[in-house]
Amino acid sequence: MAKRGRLEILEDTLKVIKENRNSIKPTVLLRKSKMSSSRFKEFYAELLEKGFVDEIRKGDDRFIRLTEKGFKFLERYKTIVEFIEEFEL
Amino acid sequence: MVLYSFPTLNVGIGAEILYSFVIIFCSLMVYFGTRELYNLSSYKGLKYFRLAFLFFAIAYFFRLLIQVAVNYFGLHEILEIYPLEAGYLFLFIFIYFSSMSIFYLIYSLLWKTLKDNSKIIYLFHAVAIVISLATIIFDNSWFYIGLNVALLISAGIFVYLSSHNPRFKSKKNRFDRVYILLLIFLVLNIINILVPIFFETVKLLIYLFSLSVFFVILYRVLKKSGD
Repeated sequence: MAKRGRLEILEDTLKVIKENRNSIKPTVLLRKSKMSSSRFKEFYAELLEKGFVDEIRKGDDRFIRLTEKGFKFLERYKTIVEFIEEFEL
Repeated sequence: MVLYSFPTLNVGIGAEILYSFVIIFCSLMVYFGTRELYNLSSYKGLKYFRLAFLFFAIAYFFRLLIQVAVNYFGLHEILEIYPLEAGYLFLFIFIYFSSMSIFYLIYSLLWKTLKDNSKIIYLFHAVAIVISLATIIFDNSWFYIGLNVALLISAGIFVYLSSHNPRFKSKKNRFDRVYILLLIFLVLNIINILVPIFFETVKLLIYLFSLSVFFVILYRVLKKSGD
């Protein structure tokens, strides 16, 4: 199986959140993201920092949801990949 | 060494200004037209591609300033302007930004192969500064032409190598020919500023082909970025 690129991992992860009615626990996302725990921690910090997701609290539980930027990325993902291929970047 | 003039096909200053504005406009459209894709993806290749066009725009702006100054003061070249420092500064900035635009374009194609080594970017800046300094120190037409032809050949080899990257082997519409044309016309435009009489007879043709290449790139960028 080919190694997933950064953009592909980002799309897969955001898609998992969206398909989960835009609300998912970090532990569930870790399981579904097919990443190691340390890799996921690093990647999740990047998602928060770049504003693709945010966290909400319901009682003692933390839930992750997509931000407007996260939705926008999913909407534009195909365009981004096609652009990169077209210009051989 | 003096280069002798051939019968000329004059391109007036009005046409020069229009030409520069169109190139600056196209370059800035590419830069701003890809802003959203870069903000969303933070993709390094896109970053260097955009920077190449931003630097094209700045280089052409200084190219325009040089031409307007040469025309306004009735000079043969910008290094005749008074005070001399202004001429050296304009030429230095023009050559630096032109060289960096070429380097950024090449790096946008090769950054993965070179493992996005930030030291290479510093090396590019250093080489661009050396080229700019050499241009103003060695005030010699053949040196300018030789330097730019060497730059073009190196750039062409890099584009050729990147286009033979296995990642893009299956692609039918390869963009490498457009990149090579862009590099050729950029270098011709640099030589045209440094040695104005060298391309006097074919200047108009160079301008028309340069514009065509920029229009093709802009069209493809706007079409693919969905703007």
